[in-house]
Amino acid sequence: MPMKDIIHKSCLLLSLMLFFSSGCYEREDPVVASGSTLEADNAIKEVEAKLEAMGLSLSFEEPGDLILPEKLIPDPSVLADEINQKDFEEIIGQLNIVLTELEQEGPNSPLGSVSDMALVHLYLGLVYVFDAMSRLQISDDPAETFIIERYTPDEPWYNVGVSPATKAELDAVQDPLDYPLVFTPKERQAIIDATDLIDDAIVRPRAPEIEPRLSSVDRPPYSKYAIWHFQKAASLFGQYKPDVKDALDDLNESLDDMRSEIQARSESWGFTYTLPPWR
Amino acid sequence: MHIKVFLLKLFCLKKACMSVAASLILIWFFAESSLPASKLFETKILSKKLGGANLPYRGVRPMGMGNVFAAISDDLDAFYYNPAGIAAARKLRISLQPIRFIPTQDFYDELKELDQLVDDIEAINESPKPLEDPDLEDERRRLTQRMKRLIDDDLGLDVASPLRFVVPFHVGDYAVAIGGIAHAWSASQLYVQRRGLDWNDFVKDILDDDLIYDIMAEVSYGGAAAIEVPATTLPLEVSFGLAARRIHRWQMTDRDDPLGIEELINPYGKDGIEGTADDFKERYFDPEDPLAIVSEARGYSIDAGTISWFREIASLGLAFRNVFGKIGDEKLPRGLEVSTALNPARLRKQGLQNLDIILAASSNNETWGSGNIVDRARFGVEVVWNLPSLAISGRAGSNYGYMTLGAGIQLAFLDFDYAFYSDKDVDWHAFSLNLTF
Repeated sequence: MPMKDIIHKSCLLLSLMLFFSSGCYEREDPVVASGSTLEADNAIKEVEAKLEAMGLSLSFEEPGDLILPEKLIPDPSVLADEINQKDFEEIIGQLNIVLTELEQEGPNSPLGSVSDMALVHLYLGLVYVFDAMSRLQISDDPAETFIIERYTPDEPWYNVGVSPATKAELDAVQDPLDYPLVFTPKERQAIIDATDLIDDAIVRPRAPEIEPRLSSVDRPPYSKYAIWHFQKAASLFGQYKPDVKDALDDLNESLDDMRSEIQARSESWGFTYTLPPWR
Repeated sequence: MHIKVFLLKLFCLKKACMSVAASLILIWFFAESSLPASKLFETKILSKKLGGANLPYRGVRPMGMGNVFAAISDDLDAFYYNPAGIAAARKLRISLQPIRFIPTQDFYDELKELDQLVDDIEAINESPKPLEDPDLEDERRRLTQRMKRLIDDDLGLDVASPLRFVVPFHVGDYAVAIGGIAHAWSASQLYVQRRGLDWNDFVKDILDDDLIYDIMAEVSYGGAAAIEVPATTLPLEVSFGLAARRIHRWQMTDRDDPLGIEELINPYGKDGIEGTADDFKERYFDPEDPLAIVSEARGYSIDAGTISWFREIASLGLAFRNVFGKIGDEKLPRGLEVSTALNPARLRKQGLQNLDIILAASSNNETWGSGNIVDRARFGVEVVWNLPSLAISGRAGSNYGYMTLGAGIQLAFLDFDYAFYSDKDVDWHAFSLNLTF
């Protein structure tokens, strides 16, 4: 074959290869799946990253864990670490963004799936409780005031009590109206906030002159409370898988036990415990 | 003498270039046209129940070159791409393709565990408490892992075994060809369609995802006829062809009512009552007898086409798909493909020594009106090295911007082809062995 032909063919083949290699597309997965938005996806990623950084991984190992939501509740000691309270606030803010996005009207309104909305409510309920327990535990630095532990290893929720030293101090107080003074202002604020976060309850020292008297979480992003979110989660899971609703109803019942216990304790510590008129 | 030869070459080159330029302008016009496809030709998605796979029949050789074949159609794949192509046959040809196997890249890995998937679905489906049953933990975990893998996978399999023949003869000055075709064909897909929030935790992520299956099999038979008419004033030969097929199709798919994890873990439906219409077995399939719900329909399709050849150098093809056609009650989507091909190796009187180089481009009405030229057109090239009783081919192409590659060896009556074919969804590996007599 003459050299001219070889050069001719080589040039032709080379130009063809260059032509066809230049226009090739890379396949890309859609950034956002149907039933979500970019804002919701980004917000949930931020939530999961923050929870992970706090040592609170709310993950399921297999679908059967759906009926064992108590597995998501960590040992209270995890919530006693130096947790930045701002992180919980930001997580709740981000979860509210997710919920707003999922609840927006879409072609098959609402936009979000039942399971996603149920899970976001479950997350919110859990984070409200974590925030409450964390506030109590980190308020009593340096002396230990609150003891938070599980009633038994199998119990999902926590028994909120006080340390023996604090108990002794309470026993030594003559006037029950002065009981709240055994706690520091920061600890009293934690009691008021924790009950607000769990139950939306209005808790105040019985003696009118003892401060503080107002919840510091009666503001955005704390628009609801743990029990409300757990009930919503149970209701939504009822549409998804009735067995999961039953499991969440059980969890809610034991949460109500914890709430009653906290109500009884706070009243015994000299606080009034009132549910708001809208409940 | 040299000047005469040179002028003759120049004349041929000019004609070829004009012909190809005219074809390219036509393709460009259609591809760049902002006129919606539906205004020109009715384009309708097939009934999901009967034609969800929506995979057109593809030949392995065309797949290697971007699936551009309507203006080439020089083998018996012309039955599918442009029936006018069979007019080019100069002798009786019978072609049997005992192997035509087109799986997606992910197919092999998943195939060996397909039984396990069905067994797991069956075990979960048989339990009244599939989430609580501790004995099913392994099945639940395996299913979760499987779904996780399937999110990145696209399982598809396209197998067929066509038998085709063409008989050429002359009627006066016209070359005529008639042919017959029969094939058994199956095209199936299985994939996970993601929905909802992008959770880091995979179990939460799949709770609202859907597992889409689409399994189609068909048997079809039919005939084709084409006539080649020489143009009197131009060095052109124009062919017209018509192909008709009777189709018998079976299909099972959940595209209309996708199967999600939610349905898997609620074997008796939301009402929890066994024997009602929302039971898994009623809505989808009985894992013990999954083929019992296959739907069946009969139909037909008629394709038409034309190819204009300028000597053996350039051609312009128009293929009209499903001019008439329906399966069951559903009309098949009509389509128009405009295509052109050029063989620069034939520009020289003697041709390039033993070499054919075919460059081709096409565009069809479904892509008109959106995107740039790469999104709207396909391009392909085939280089064939012809040796005595052996031909070796290399192919490449751009399938609306996605790469395709191919190779073929033709040895006497045996023709083996391979293609790597990308589209916007998946990568396919296609193999075929053709026996042509």
